[in-house]
Amino acid sequence: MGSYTTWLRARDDDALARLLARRAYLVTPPPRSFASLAGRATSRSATQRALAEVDALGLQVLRAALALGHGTPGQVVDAVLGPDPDDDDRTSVDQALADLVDVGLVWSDDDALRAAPGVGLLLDPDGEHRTRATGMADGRLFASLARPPRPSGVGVDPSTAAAESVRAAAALVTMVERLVEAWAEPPQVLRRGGLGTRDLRRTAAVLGTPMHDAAFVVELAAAASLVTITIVGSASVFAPTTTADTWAAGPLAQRWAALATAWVTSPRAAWLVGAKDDHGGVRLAGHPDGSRSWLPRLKRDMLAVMAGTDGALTVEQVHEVLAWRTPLAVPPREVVVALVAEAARLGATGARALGPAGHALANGGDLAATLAADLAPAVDEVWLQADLTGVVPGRPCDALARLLRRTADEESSGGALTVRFTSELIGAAVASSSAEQIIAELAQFSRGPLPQALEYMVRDAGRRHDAQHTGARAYLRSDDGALLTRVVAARALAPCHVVRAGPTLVTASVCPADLTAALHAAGFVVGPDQVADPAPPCRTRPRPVRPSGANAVDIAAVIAGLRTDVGETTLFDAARVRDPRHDRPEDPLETVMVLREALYQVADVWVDLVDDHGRTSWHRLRPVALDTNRLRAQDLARGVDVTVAIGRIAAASHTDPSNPAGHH
Amino acid sequence: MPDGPLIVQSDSTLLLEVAHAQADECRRDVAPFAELERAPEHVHTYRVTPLGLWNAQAAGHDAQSVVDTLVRYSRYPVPHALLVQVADTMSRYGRLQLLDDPEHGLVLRAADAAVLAEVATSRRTSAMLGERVDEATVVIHPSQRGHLKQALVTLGWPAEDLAGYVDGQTHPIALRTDAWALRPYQTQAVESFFHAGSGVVVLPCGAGKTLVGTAAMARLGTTTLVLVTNTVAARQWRDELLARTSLEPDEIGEYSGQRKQVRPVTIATYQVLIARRRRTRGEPGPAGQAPADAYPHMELFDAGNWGLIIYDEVHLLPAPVFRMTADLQARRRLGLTATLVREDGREGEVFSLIGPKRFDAPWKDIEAQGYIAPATCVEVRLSLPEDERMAYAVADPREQYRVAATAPAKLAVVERLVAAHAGASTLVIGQYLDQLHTLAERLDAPVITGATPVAERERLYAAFRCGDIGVLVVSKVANFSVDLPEASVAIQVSGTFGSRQEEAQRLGRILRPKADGGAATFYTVVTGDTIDTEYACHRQRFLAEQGYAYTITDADNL
Repeated sequence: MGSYTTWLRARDDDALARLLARRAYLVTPPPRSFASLAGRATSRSATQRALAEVDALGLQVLRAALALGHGTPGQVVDAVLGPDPDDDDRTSVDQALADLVDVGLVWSDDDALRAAPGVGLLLDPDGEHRTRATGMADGRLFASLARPPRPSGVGVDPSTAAAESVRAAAALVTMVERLVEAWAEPPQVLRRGGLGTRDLRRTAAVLGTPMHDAAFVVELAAAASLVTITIVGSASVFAPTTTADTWAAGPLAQRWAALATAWVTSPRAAWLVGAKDDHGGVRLAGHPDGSRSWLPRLKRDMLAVMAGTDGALTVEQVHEVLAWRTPLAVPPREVVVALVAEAARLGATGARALGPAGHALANGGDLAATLAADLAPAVDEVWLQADLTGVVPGRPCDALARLLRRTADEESSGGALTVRFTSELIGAAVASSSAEQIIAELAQFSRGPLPQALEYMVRDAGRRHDAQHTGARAYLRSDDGALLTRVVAARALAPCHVVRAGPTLVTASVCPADLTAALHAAGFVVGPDQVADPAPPCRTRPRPVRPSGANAVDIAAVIAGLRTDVGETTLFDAARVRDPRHDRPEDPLETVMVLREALYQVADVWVDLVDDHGRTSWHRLRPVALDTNRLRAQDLARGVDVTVAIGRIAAASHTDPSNPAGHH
Repeated sequence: MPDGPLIVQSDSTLLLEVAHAQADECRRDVAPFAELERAPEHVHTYRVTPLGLWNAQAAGHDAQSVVDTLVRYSRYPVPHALLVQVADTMSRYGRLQLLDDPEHGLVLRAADAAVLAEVATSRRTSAMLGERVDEATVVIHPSQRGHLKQALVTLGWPAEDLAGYVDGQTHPIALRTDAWALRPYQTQAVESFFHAGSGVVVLPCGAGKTLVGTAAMARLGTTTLVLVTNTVAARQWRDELLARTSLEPDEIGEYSGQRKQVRPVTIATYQVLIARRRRTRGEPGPAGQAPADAYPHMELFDAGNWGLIIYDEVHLLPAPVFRMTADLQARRRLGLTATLVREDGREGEVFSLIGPKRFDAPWKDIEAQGYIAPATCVEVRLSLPEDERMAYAVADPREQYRVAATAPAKLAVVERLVAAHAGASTLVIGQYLDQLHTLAERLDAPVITGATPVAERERLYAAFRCGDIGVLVVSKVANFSVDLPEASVAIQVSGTFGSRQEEAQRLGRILRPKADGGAATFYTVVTGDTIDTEYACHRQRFLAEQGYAYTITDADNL
C-alpha cells in the first residue's frame, strides 16, 4: 500500500509534466520535494481549483472512484456505465478517468484507483456515495451517464461568418488605434484607481462608440500593453506605451492578432464597467477590482465550445455546454452573455458563428495569417467630394487611414470608409506639417483631382495657423548639448528661427519636416525621432508582464529538481528512525501532507511535538481530524484523544509508508 | 465577389458609386426602400430606415426583394445584421390592419394574436382599443384612427390602413390640357396616389409637384383643401389652378391672414391655421396651457365636407396641424414634398398621419429627361482692405458677421457680376436692409423687403417674370419661396437661408429649366478669412450634397 507522495514520485516525467502544465499553480514557487508537491496538490484550495475544472462526466467517474474506495479501473468504469455499455460511452469514461489521473485527482495504489486525499471531503462530505455504492444492484452509481450536450447551431454560411468577423476585427483595430492616438493627451488615474467616468465618456466620444464599447477597448488596449499607468509630472495617468508604436507599425492582421491574444489571456471583466460595485460606487475601467482570474480559462472553454459546433450557437446553448464542462463552477449566465458579445466585438465570431480567425484563436492557429487570408486587399484611393466628404471604397491602406484620421471625422465604416473633413482637424493637422504638405498627401491618394472646396479649406486653415502661431512649431531633442549649441549657432538654420529651449531641447518656427530637411542640408545628422512636434506624444514603457502559469516556469527544470533531491527521497523511506536533534527544519506543507495522508488512510504517524519549553518529543498518533489550526488524534500508547495545535508540530512521518499501520 | 456599384455600410447607409456602369439601374432599385441623403459628385449616400422599409412594403416590395437588391449590387458582403434587420422590420408592417367591418365599424385586426396582445398591454396604445370582437380583432373608435396609427409606428407595429375614406362633396374639376400635358412621371404619381387613397409623393424641386396636386384633384373630382406654406405660395396655387383646370375664380377661396374665404377649393396657409387667437384683457385661460380654441382657424378642417386634403411641402408641416390631421383619417390626404427628411425628426408622423410614400422619382432621372435644369453655384471670395480688416478684427463678436457680410467691397463685386450677366434676369438677395437699399440704388433696381405690401410684391414679381424688370433686389424677409422661372442668375450678398432643406429648396425654386435651355447660376459673395467664409462653408456643403456643382473663385479673377 503506497501513499499519494510515493505515487507521484513513481510517475514518469511526461506524466508529471502533464500534471504540472495543467495545474500550473502547483509550480510557483517550484516545490522542493515530492512530499511538498503532494501537499500542495491535495490542499483544500488546490483540490477545489482542480475540481472546478472537471466536467460532469469526470465528476461521475471521480465519485465512482471515491465510492469504491480502492476499486480497479474496471470496477470504476463499471460503476459509472453499468453492464453492456455503449462503445462510445466506454471510450469517454476511459478518457475521463485517464484525465483525472493526469491531473492527480485520482491516483493508483498498486492496482487500485483511489481519489486523491481531500477530494472526498469536498465532493462527498457525508460519505453518501460509499453507502449507495454498496447498495446498488447492478453496481451502477448513476441513473444516467452525464454525456456532453451536443447543441446544433443555426446554419450560417461560412463566408458570411468570415466576412462579418473580418469586418469586426478591422473595426476593432481601428478603434484601438484611435484610442492610442487620443490618449497622447493622457487621462488621469483617479485616486481610488481606474479611469474616471468623465474621461471614459470623452474617450467614447472620440471613438464614436457607446461607453460600454469604449470600456472594452480601453481594457483590451491595456491587456495588450498598448496603454499603461505611468507617472507624468506628479499625476498618475493612462498613457500609450512604446509597444503601441511598434504595434501601430505592423500590418492590420498582426495588430489584430496581438489584440486577440491579449483578449484570450486577459482576466479583465470590461462589461462590469459602469455597474455598481459592492459599496454602491460605479465600477471604473482600468480599476484593479475589474479582474477575474477565471476569465481566461472560461474564454478558452467558450471558444472550444463554439469551435466544436457548426453554425451559430445561442448564448443559452453555449452556457449549457459550459455548465456541463465545469459543473462545480458554473459561469454566471450574464458573464457568458458578455463574453459572447466580446468575442463578436473582437471579430472571433461573425453572425454569431466562429470565423476562421476565431477557429485559429480556439485551436492555437496562426492568427495573423488566418485573418490576412480573409482580408480584402487594402485600397489606396479615396473619392474626395465637394461636400467635404471622402469615401474610401474598401479598407484603406495604413498610410491613407492615418492621413484621414488626422484630417477628418469618420462618418461610417463597414465595406467602405466615409469621412468628413473638418476645419478643426485640418487646422490641427496643418500645425504639425503644412497646408501644402497635406494637400500633396491628399492628392496622392485622391481618385481624380482634389475638390476645390477641400483645397481652399486646407489653405484657409494654413493661413489661419500661420497668422496665429509665430512660436515654436517643431523641436529638436538631443542629449548632446554641444550638438544643440552648434545647431543654434549655425547660420544656415537662421530662417528656421532655432532657439535653445533647455539643456536638451531646441525649438524652431518651422514644421518638423522642414526642420529635418534644413538640418540635413546644414550637415547635421539627426534621427527622425529627435525632431518632433512641440507637444511630443506621451509614451511610456509597458509594464513588464509578470510571467504566470506553467508556461512561464520551466516545468522540465522543476521535475529535474524534484528527481535530484536525494535527501527528500530518503525522508520517507521505510522504517526510518528520526532523530530530532539531527533533523533539519521540516517543510510545514510536507508535515501537513503526511498528516492528511495518514488521516485519509487511517494510518499512524510519528509526530514530533514542541512543548512550552521548546523541547521536542516523538509521539505515535492516529489522526482523526485535521483543520487549518488543529490536529485531533488518538494517542495509541496512552489510549487517549489529544488535540494538538499545528504550530506545535515540528515534523511528522509515516510509521511505515510501505504498509501504514491500521489501514482498513 | 461581384464588382457592384453599391457598398453597404454597417450603419445602414448605402454608398452608390455614380460613375459605375450599373449605377442607374441600382439607383432605381434601391430608391423604393432607401432615402437619398446626399448626392455629391462621386458617391451618393442612401439610408435604410424602418420607415423607408415600411414605405417599400406599402408599395408592394417584400423583404426578399430588398435583400436581393442589396446583395445583387453590393461590392462587398452585406452586413449580416442589416439583412436580419431588413427582414425583421419589414415583417412588422401589415401584421396589424385597420379595417371597416360591416358589423362593428372600424376595427384593428391582427395577423397573429401575440402582436395584438402586445398592443393591448402597451401603455401607449391600450387606452385607444375598444371592445374585443375576437382573439385577433378589436373595435377602434373612429376618432382614434390617426392617434392609434401614430402610436403603433412608435411601437414598431405600423398598421396598414385599409378602412377606406369618405368621398366628400363631389365637385367636378377638369384639366385643361389644350396647351400642355402631364409628364409621364406626374401621371404615374397621380395614379399611385389615387389607388392608395392617401400618402406622400416625393418629387425634386422644379419637377412640378403643384401639377401633381392639381391632377389628383381632377382625378377625384371633389372639394379640396390645399394647405401651403405662405400667402405667396397660396396665390401661385390659385394661378396655377385657374390656368390648368376648369375651375373659375369664384370656386377657389383663399384662407390666409388677409382673406378668409371658404369655397369648393380652398387654399389655406400653415401660418393662419396655427395662428392663436389673441386673448383679450381679462379673458380667463388656464395658466401655461393653451385653451381649447387656441387655434380657431383649425375649424376650417370641419368647414366643408372635403374629399381631399393636400399638404404642400409636407416636410414643413407644423406640429399643431399634425395633431389636427390625426382626426381626419377618413379623408383622403396627399402630401407633396421634395424630401421626407424633416429637421424635427417627425418623419414617423408624416408616415402614419399623411400616409406612406406613394411615388418617388430620383432627381437624376428627371434631370436626365430634361425636366429640371442643372445649376452652377459659385462662391466669390474677396479680401478685405487693410482698414476694413482692422474694423472686423476689433468688432464685437456678435457684430462680426454683420461687419463681414456687409463689407463695402461687396458692392463693387455685385456690380461686376450683374454687368457680366447683363440682359439675364437677376435676383440679388441679402439680409441687411441698409446693404440692400444701397445695392438697389447702385444697380438702379427695385427692392422687395418685409415692409413691401403683398400687392406691390406681386406686381414686382410679375414684372420680373415677364422681363420688364431685369434686376430685382430682395431681402430674406421677403422670402423668395415663389416661382420665378425666368431668374437665371441669383446673387446672395449676405445672410443664410436657415435650415438645410430650405437652403436647397429655395435655390431649387429659382433654378427652373429656362425657356432658352440655359443653366442657372447662383453666386454667393463672401468675405475671405472671416466668419462669412465659415457660413459659406456650410452652405457649400449642403449644396454639394444636393448635387449642385460648386466652385470657388477669387473676386480678383472675375
